[in-house]
Amino acid sequence: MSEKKSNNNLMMTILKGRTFIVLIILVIFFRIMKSNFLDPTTLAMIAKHVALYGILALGMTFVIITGGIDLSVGSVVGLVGMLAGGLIQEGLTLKMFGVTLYFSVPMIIIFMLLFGLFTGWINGLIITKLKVAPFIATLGTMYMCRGFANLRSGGATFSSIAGKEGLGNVGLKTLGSNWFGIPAGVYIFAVLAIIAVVLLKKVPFGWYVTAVGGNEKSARLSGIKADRIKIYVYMISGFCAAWVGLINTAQLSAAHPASGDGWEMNAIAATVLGGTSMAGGSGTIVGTIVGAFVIGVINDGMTMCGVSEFWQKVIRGAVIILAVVIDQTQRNLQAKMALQARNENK
Amino acid sequence: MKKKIALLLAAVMLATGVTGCGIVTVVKIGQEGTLTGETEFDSSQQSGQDWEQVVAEITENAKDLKEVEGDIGSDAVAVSGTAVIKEWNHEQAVKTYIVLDGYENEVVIQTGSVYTGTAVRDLQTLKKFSDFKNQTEWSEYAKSLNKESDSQIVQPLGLSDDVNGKEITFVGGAVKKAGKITITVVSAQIN
Repeated sequence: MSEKKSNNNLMMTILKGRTFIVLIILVIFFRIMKSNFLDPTTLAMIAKHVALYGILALGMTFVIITGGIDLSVGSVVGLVGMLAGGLIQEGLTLKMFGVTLYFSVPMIIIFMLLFGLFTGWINGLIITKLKVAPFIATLGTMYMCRGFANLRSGGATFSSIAGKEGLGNVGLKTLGSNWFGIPAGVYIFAVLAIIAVVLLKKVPFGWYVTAVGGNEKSARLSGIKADRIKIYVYMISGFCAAWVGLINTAQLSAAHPASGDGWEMNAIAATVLGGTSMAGGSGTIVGTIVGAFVIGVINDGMTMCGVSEFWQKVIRGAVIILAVVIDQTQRNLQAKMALQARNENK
Repeated sequence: MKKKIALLLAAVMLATGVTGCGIVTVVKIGQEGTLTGETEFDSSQQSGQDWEQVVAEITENAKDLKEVEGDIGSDAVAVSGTAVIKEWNHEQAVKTYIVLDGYENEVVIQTGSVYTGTAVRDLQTLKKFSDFKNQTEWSEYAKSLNKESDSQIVQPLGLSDDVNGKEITFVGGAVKKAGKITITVVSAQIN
């Protein structure tokens, strides 16, 4: 009996640390396949990509913990890039006054972050007030944002996002450069991750998020304003997507309406790999960070090894399914162990 | 009323504040160049300035079309000649052309309104790609040179059906595509 229990405990420990174990295995595997995989330049490139998926996944973690999903984040990335790029390259023309306004980069960043919050607020309102399923609501806003991104320039790219000294709008490219050898996006990811950890684990808001995802009815009965919490989590997701839109535009030195296409899947994959339950009610930011690294290592590792993009999609899909299956196994095992413990106490 | 004045004052102060702090730069529409020192790219201005030199260069380098006819390919060649006009084809208003007689290949002079190709631009050495900011400007320059050809050479010819059978003397850039030689003229005269 005790041997069985210790086996279960060992199994549980492995399952809990599965993402980290997978990450280590992947790093070793790609290091064997490509000798330059752990070179500083390669690591900086991976970190650059991980930061983008990671920031999106931070927001996605809050959403998925409440039992929701946000499919619009990839399109918000594209739209924010186009809006920021447009404000830099063309300014804001007010024909009635015969002037064009060129905003400074800090102002543009603030506008875009507010815009990210706004898209999240719209998602939240559609889900909570109009009672539309999160999948459908965010699918709709996904298409709308992508459409608006294309409409902003007629499908063209904004290629002059460096700004001009005379117009006082230079500086966005700083977000895409390296600070002390590390991509700026990594610092932003780190700061946002710390804030996310505090929000989720150290303040009542995080408990409310988990409570709403765990059992919404009970949460409501205990006085938690579930609708408000849901709106907030979508706003957090939009805010994170806006950051990614800005960083990605800065990294590319251009804004293209197709930017961020399909990135919501990377964010969801990172979140699920990190142990956040698709059913809601549980998840950790640290897990999501490790999940983002796994996705980043898989993506860049496969690209470096020359795996075709089509196969990459197949493998990524399989990884997501595997992650969910393992998550389910962990839950079943947890339930089994709890039952065992209860029987022993009797 | 007082409230409106206060709001207006607040708006003015806010606008002044944000402008003064560099938060926003207000520029009259199209006047960005006064602040950046950059002038907007005007391809027609450049082609207008360069046209005479372009004509002189192509005229100087031009070879008799009859001699080089067989060597013409997709790269532009400066050609000249005198030939009988077989027909001025204007079935399509946007794609009219003069068909020349007396050549082994089918030879046409494009007469607008739409001009295709970049032969004139490719034959001049006054400006090169690196003088332009990007491919778009380089392409605009080619289009503007074609427009110069239209306005300064083709339009003054006053083409009509009467030109059929007359003789034309021309200089221009020629390219061969799908067995047909197309010439964009930099000078032409109907005798």
